[in-house]
Parts: sequence; structure tokens; C-alpha cells
Amino acid sequence: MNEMKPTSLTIYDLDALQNQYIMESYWSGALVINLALIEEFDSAGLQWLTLVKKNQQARGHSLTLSDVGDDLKNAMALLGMHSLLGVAHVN
Amino acid sequence: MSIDPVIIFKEEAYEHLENLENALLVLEESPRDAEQIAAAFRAMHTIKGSAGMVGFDHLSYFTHHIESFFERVRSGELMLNDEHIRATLLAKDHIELLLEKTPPSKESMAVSETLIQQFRRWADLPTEGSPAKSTAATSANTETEQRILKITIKPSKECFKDGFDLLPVMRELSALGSCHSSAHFNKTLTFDSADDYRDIDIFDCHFFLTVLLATEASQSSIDDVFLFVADDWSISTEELDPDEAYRLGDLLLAEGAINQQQLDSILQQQPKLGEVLSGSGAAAQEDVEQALEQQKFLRSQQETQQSRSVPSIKVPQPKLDALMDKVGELVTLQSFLEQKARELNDEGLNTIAETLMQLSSDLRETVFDIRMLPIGTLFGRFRRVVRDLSHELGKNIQFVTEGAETELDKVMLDKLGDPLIHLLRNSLDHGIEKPEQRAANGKPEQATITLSAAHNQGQILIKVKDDGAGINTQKVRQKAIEKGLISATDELTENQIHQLIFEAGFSTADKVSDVSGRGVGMDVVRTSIDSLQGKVHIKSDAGLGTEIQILLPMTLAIIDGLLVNVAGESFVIPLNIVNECIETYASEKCVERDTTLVKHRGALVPCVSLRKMFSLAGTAPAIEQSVIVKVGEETGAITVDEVVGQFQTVIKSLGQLYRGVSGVMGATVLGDGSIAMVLDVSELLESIQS
Amino acid sequence: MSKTILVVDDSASVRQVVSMSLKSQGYQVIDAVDGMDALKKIEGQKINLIVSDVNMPNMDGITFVKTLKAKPEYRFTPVLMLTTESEESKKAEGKAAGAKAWLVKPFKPDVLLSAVAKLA
Repeated sequence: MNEMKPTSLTIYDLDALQNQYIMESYWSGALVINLALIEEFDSAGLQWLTLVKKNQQARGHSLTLSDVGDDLKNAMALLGMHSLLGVAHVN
Repeated sequence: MSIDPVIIFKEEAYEHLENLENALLVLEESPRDAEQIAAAFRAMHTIKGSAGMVGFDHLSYFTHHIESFFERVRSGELMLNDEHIRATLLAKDHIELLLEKTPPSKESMAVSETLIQQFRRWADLPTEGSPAKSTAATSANTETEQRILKITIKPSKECFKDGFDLLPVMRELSALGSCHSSAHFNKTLTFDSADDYRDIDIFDCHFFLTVLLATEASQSSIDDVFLFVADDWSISTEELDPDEAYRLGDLLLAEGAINQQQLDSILQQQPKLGEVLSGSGAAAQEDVEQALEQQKFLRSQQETQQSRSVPSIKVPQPKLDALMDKVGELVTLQSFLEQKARELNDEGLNTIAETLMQLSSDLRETVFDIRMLPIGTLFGRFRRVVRDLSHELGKNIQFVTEGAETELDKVMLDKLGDPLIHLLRNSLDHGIEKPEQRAANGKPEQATITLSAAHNQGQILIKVKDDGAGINTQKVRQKAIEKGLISATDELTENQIHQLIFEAGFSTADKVSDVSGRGVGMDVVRTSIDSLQGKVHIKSDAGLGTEIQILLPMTLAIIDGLLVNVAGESFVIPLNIVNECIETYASEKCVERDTTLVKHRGALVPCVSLRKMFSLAGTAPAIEQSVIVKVGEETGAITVDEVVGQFQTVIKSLGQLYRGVSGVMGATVLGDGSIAMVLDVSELLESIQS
Repeated sequence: MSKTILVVDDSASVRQVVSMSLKSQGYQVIDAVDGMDALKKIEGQKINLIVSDVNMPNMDGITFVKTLKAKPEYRFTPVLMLTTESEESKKAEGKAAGAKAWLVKPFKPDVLLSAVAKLA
């Protein structure tokens, strides 16, 4: 199983994250993205997570998000992506 | 950081004025010098922009017009002549004046207008009214009934690249109520191959949102959320019918996840629509899941709404006022029926009169109730004032409100806003100490201001309480002596001294502070509360804080009154201030320093003779009646010929003719059609003290 | 984690009012008197939002935004332009340069704060 552990999920990080995903994880099946270290994120970052999820699913693989902080969960719910990402709605 | 922006602004403005003057001197010789024209324009432009931001609104308005004129000169549409230059020099002097004197006097505003006229004519601009256009509209947040809205937000494809994040917008939107969002990704995205995925531009926005929002906020506050994105995004709002059962199929149809035909054919197959829909492949599973969530949200909102809302209708206020008037007349008439019945001593008639009294008083209560609004509608506005001011003054304050549900007559509520804001500002500005000082005095750095409202013995009690420094009794006393309110030899209790701050012309602030209202004192507060038939009282403990209590009647329109007679004329005294009625013999009266005094419970109370006060004909009977009244802490007597009795009365405001008459607050029509004046007792008592 | 906002305006009092209200809400503020100054001051710094005047000496607001947006580290940074009514015509030019939101001077601090909240 492959794991990614980004520290930031903003539009400025997308180039690097996308590269890492395509180079290291695209072909390796189940993927875990650990979000414990995330300090900053934005809509573009959350959209990227959702795109990766969709891509994994379309190819019969999985994406599991782990250590999702409350701030992130709230933001996912605000953007209506929580159910797509399989993250439970807080509050 | 701590330097006052106003001081910086003034320095900067003088610098720009100097630049302007230098430019004008060159332009006198060579009126086409583009560099100097630009310099003149820049000077006006900068002053205008900064002035509005530091509160010099009139100056900003004035320079705006000079700037517009130079704009046209700069663009070559106008050629500068000597007259223009002379007027600009005048304008420069005028700006210096406006910089020094804020707010500007009427005269200087008139000067501004004259100069503006001139510049507008030259610039050939149509005359317009106010400068209001220059400030960005802050929309009024009028609250309405709760509605459920469906807002569809389609961000522009490039929004992320442009630096727009949806999260701040969504955070703001979600603050307006409870909300549920679903993201709908573009169906044209495909993930069949690695190339497909690589083709997706991850910097573009690939989804739109549908947001269900249950909110009381007005449309304008919702529009405000989308202020900057409205041009490039597509935002549409639709109000959902709160009573409709939103079926899954309908929701999916609305999202465009399936089409009508698919829905119809599936609906015929009946049960477990969700499974059928996704099972048949007509709708993607994620769409069905999202629709289910939306449905869940809608149902929970509908439930909470139904549990608290009863059907209501809107009625224009004049209709309510008319109803109130009629009820008032009924109440008056009923009082007289009751009186007649008593005189005739007819048992049958008495029973009818009593039943009618019960009925009309129930009716009165019901009508009152309709006019009542919770005081909480004012609190929101205060919260903001406190927040803004505490930032401005560098104080750390927790604002607590209690009893927001307490109801008041709408008319009173409207008049209560300003005095309460004044009291809050006063507390913030003078009462609450700076955090450093609080810490030094062993108090928590965060101060607390509590605004509370409650019912109290048929009246409304409003309190503004702070845990600040309290009133400096010595300072107040000193000031009161300076102002001639008391003499140096007067022996006053601490409490009596504190009440002095409500006297006209009294202001405790050593310097005129902008915050608590340009040196206007607490007398304004008292005048406002007086006009509402209320009382205001202050309690203060040095070092511990101050509490101001305002006691208000439930309504203004109908009062319980005591009907009295003098020389055949009728007067009404509000019953809530009447203590008792005593007989007064002419011999018992004594006169001291021009004030007549009567003996009451061993003390001498000052006394107003209505006959003298209103210059009525005839001589007083040997035995007069004195009505002992208590207004605030003041006791007095009102001497009349005869006390008729209690009755409920409707106050009508006086016509223009009587408005200036002191001691009278309104009139009422009696059952026989004659008119009785309703006395303003606090004014009467003041008139004999001065 | 507090956000950093760059404020560019040649008027000291506007800078003062804007920074004071932003700081009161917990933002970090870097201020600059014109485009040149701003480019110098932000060198290597992370900026969450730029609030910039249009009409300034040395380097005006629009040229500044254009220059800034050309740098990869600031290509996505949102820009709020401060303008006056007389500069309405510059909006199109500013948009092309990469500025997205506009506030007309003079404005009250709370208007600015609500605008900033929408962008940063």
C-alpha cells in the first residue's frame, strides 16, 4: 500500500502533489493520503483530493484519507465534497 | 501603529496642499504644463481618498468635485484660465479650514457648495445631490422570516488561478444560517486512462455547488456574500417551498442527474427509489447519495420550522394604529359607562358594565400584544457598536445580553435605540478601563458590559451594567459645582451626586471625546427616556462598576390615569406616578423662596397649583385636593379642586398649537366628547424647582 | 495561522487606517508606498492577499499587479484594488492585469474587512 503525507494542500502545492501521485502512486493500487500534517489548504487543494478519489475509484482502486482534522472536515462539508471523499460530516 | 491616523492624514493633506499651491503658481504662467496639472490632480485625488477614510466626509465630498474638474483639465477637455486658478486657490484655503474644523460649520458647508457649483459649471457636469455614491453600499441586514433557499454556485473555470478561493465565500454564506452543500463535478471528466487523468487541468475549477440554506437573512445580505464574484460566477437563488415533500427523484431531476423520462419510467417500477435509480444506472451512485443527504437536510429543516412557526400574516402599521385608536375609544367609553352604571345603581346595568370592562381590557391586552416586538431586535445593532468601539479604543470587552425575548411596544423600541447606544458608548469610553489598568487593579483584563431587559411589576426594566471604574464622585461633585447645578455647601449623598450626571449640560468627560458623542452628556439620555414616560437611575461603586437602570411603561398609547378637575377643566395624571391623594387646607400651605409647600407625612413637599400654572379662572375652594406624585427620586404635590377617579385613557399627541405648552404631554377625549389634558408631571415639577 | 496581507498605497493615512483595521482582525500586514517598494519588501515572503491602490508614483497599481503576477510564487495571489470613482475606466485594464476585486475609496473599515474576509 502506498501512502502520501503532504504538509500543505493549496494551489501552490498542486504541481508537486500531482507529480508525486502520478510518478509514485498512480499504478500501485490502494492509496492512503495522511492529512495529519496539513497546515494550509484551499478549494483547489480539496478539489485535487476529490479528483484523485474519482480517478482511483474509476480504476477500481481505493483512496483512503486518514487523520483528517476538524478544520479540514468542515471545509470539505462546506464545499459539499465530504460524501464524495467518504469523510463523515462533523457537527 | 499607535499614531492617530487623523494626525497623519492632516500632515499629508498639508503637504499635498503645498504641492497644489506650487503647481498653481507654475500654471499661472504656463497653464498647459502637463506635469503640474497632474500634480494638482494628484493632490486633490489623494486628499479625497484619504479624507473619507479618516472621517472627514465633507472634505472628501468637496475635494471630489475639484478633482473631477482637474480630471477634465488633465484629459485635455478643459483649458485652465486665470479664473480657474484663482478659484482653486480659494478652494485650497477652504480645504485648510475644513481640515481644522470638524465637523464643518453650516457656513463653511455653504462655502463648499458655492465653490462646488462653480467647478461643476466649468467641468460642465450636471448638478447632483449627495456624495453618498462614493461609499460602497453597506446593505441593510433586514431580517425576515426563515426561508429555505437553494443556491447554485457555478464558479468561473479560472477562479482558482485568479486567486479566488471558494472557502471564504462558503464560510460567510454558512454563517447566515444552517447550510448543506453538495459538489457536482463536471460529467465530462473521464478517468478511463492515465492520459485522461493527465489531461485534467488541476488548476481549473471542475465543479459547481448546490447549497441548501435555511436562513432568516435578507436577499441583500446573501448578495453581499457574492460581492466580488458576481461578475464572473453564475449564482442563482431559488426559494424552496417549505411545505413540499422533496422526493428523491425530484431532487435528482433538479440537479440534472437524471432526465424526466428516466424518472417517469423508474417511478412506475415503484419501491426503494434510491436503489432502483442507481441500480438501473440512470443516476450515478454519488448523485443519489448526495440527493439523499439533501433530502435529509430538508426534512430536518422542515421539522424544526414546523415545530416553531405558526402561520402569520403581515399587516401594515397604520392599520394596527387605527385598531389601537378604536380600542382606546372603546376603553374610554367603557370607563364612562361604568361610572354611569355606578351612579344609576342599576344592578343589571352594573353587570353589563363589568362584563364589558373585562372584555375591553382583554381586547386591549390583545392589541398591545400585537404591537409588541422583542427587544432582541435592537441587540444585534449594539453588538456591532460594542465590537467596533472596543477595537477603536483598544479595550477588551465581553458584551453580554440578557432577556432578548422581552417584548416592548414597537414605537418605544424605535425610540430606545439611540439612548441605549449612548449609554453603551459611555460605558465603553469612560467606564471601562484599558486592559493594562485593569490588570494593575487586579481585575480581569476582559471587561464585561451587560445589557439586560426584564419585566418588573408591570413595567420594563432595562439595565446597562459594566464592571469598569465606576463614577468618580468627587469629580462629578466638583463639576456640578462649577456648572452651578449645586452649591459647594450642599450636603448630598453619593447616590444623589451620581444622579447629577443626567442634568442638562453636564458632561463628565474631561476632554470632548468623539466616542461618547461630541460632548453631549447624559441629559440627552434622560430627555429621551422622559419622553417615553420612563425613569432612569444610576448606581455606581467606585472601582467596581456602574449600573444604569431604565424603567419604562409597557406602552405609550394607553395609560391608567387619575382624572382631576380644576375650574371646570379636566386633567389626567398618569396613575403610575401617583402615590396618594390628600386634602389640603389653604391654611396648611406655606411658601418658601417662591415655592408653595404642603405638609405630607411630616415632610414639606413642593407643590404645583394647576390653577396658577395654567392661569385658570375662579378661586380655589377652601379645601383643595393634593395628589402626591413621585417622579424618579423626586416627590411633589399637584393641587387641584377635585379628584374624579381612576380610568384608562388613550393619549393622543397634541396638535402643533399646543406642542410648546410645558407640563402637558398629550390630550385625551373623554366619554362626553370633551377634552382633558394629560399632564407631564416631571416637567411640572421641574418648573417649580427652577 | 495568521494570514499575511500586503498593503500598497502612497497615502500614509490610508495605509495606516487599512493596516490598523486588518491588524485588529489578526492579519499580518506588510505595507509599501508604491509598486517598487512593494516588490522589494515582499521578496521571498508568502502573501495571502494584496490590497493595492491604483494611482501611485514610481510604479502604479496596475503595472505592479502585472509584474507580480508574472512571478510564479505570486501567480495565484488574489488582488483587491482600491480605486476612486474617477478611475472606474481602469477596471478593465486592472482585470486584464490580474486584479479581481475592487473597492471604491473612501470606504469604511468594516467594508474593507468584509471584502478581505471574502478573499483571504
